[in-house]
Amino acid sequence: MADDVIVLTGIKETIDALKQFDKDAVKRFNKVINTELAGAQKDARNIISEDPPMSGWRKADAAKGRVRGGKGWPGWNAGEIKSKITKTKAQGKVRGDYTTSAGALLNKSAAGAIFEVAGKKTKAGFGGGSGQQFLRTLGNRFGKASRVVWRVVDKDRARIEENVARALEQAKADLQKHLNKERA
Amino acid sequence: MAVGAVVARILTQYSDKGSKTAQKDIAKLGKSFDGFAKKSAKAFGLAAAASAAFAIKIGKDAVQGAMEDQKQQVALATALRNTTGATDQAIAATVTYLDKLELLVGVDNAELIPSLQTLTQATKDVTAAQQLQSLALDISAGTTKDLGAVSIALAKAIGGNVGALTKLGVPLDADAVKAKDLNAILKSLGATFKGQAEKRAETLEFRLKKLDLAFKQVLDKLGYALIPVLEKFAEVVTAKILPAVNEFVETNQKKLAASFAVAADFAVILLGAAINFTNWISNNMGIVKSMAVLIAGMFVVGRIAAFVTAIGTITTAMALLRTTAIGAAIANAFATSGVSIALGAAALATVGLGAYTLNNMMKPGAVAGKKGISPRGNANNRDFITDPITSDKTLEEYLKSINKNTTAVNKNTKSVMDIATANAMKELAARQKALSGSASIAIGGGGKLYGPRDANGKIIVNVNNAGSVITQENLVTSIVNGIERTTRRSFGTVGAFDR
Repeated sequence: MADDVIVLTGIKETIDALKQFDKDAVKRFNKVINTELAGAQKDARNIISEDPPMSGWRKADAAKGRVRGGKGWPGWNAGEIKSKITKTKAQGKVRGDYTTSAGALLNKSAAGAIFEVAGKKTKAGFGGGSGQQFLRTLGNRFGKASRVVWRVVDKDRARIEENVARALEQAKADLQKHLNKERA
Repeated sequence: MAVGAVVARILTQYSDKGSKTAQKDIAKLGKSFDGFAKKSAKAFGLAAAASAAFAIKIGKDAVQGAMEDQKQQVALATALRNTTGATDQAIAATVTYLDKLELLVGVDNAELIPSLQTLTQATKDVTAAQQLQSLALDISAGTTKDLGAVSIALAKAIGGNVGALTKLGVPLDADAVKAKDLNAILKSLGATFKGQAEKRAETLEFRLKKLDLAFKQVLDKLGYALIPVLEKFAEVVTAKILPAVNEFVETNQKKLAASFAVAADFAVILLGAAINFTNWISNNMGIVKSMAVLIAGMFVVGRIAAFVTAIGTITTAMALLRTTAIGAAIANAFATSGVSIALGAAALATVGLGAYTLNNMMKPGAVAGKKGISPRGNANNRDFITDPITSDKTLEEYLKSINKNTTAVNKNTKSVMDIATANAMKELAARQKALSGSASIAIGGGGKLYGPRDANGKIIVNVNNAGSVITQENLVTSIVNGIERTTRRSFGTVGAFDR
């Protein structure tokens, strides 16, 4: 999981101020973010294989659910999982002095979420239960938890940060330039 | 954002909404406390005022009651002395008797004293007068006639005018009346009205009256205690204060009149200044509006820190104004009327977009003496000119404050990573130690290798593994074998390594 995400301040303020002077500069800034998000989204979707991670993972949802509050085990529908890996720039609900997303990848399908985080909280042990076996196999084949969107973000974090920070600096410079121009 | 989705944040925006909410809540709480304090103070104030008023009322009632009582007692004492030659002790005993009688029958001393005085004057004997008063009280209670009227009728009867009793409507023994036998008449009256006063005193009305009278007696005592104080105060006021005030007024009456005249002139001057200030505002409404917009914007954005920083540039801005010919006139105007607004403007002008507005107002080419300034108005329609402020300091400060938070977060992130790295290295060392099968494995402490180095400066690691010393390459092989052994036990062949 991306524990050390970059936290930027002043994005909204800078962009709001810049909108008053140069909408093209705002578009340029948004394009950088959109490009980075789209790239990350594409990489994350590529991780999802057409075949289920395990032979026993059916492709259709369980007919009669016993787990997940009666919903049953979600089927491995690669198309659905991929389509539900989306990008967003929506600001999350702010409950306090906290960080909120300005750009993020979402893994919204149930099967995709299980594949992403299975074994993160409950470590694979040596028990003989099916759950333990599932975690062990998943871990052995695809590595530890954070297998889709978090993995992509971790992998490309440095590049994304650099590009976005550069775009933000450019936006600030544009704002400064326009302010100086207005003063003159 | 989707509920329940796995979210991988790439860009994260810091929000201080929580802080602002907390500040608002704290301010609100503070206001509540203030309100409570004000209300409490008001309530306590009212209570205190009420207490004071009540105390004053008690004091006033006490003194008034005591004064009335004193007046009646003086009259009674005089009557007793004149008619019976009573001593002070006898008078004091009579007063005590009346106080007790008052509480016994529920009749005020204001009625008892004149009654006893009348009867004493008629009988010339205090004891006989007290006995007659007792009869008068019974008659009064039995006939609901006024005690004073009954006492007068009895006094007249003692003087030989029995008809007064008849006029009172009291039933009398006809034979005794015809014989003008006073003793028989009184005896008859005593038999007729015996115990009336005591019975009446037991009714609720008179029990309440007795309570009231008891309270009045307490007040009278308080009043008697206060009377000397008031007498002393009256003496001081009469002897010292009034003459001093009189002397002061006579000596300073001309000066007092002159002072009032000066105060009136001063009020006129103040009024004139206020009118001038109003004129300045009406003539420069553009500036006022612009400043209001700037101030509102400043506080909406919440850049208080930047505002405080910007105040440091006020001096420079004002000096700049004063160096110009028109600027001097403006400075003068500011000094007389709009100084606070101008200072606010100079400060705000250095902050972010605020500079844009003010500089438009102050750009070269503006003309003096024009009214109706507007930052968006005609460049020639301005009443002063000066050089625009060219410093970018405020914007730099603004951006610096933005970056400050980023730096702080990065610093924290690094520290978390350092801790994670250190823990990972410790875990690795422990695992290597376990896999080597030897408690005396010779690979570093704290994750760092140490030992003799080769020609290239690389550390040569010698490990005592199962009693044999091997090379660094063999160590790796040994570790891989150990891991494979472990994974075979757990996963069969799944955990085999590619070599």
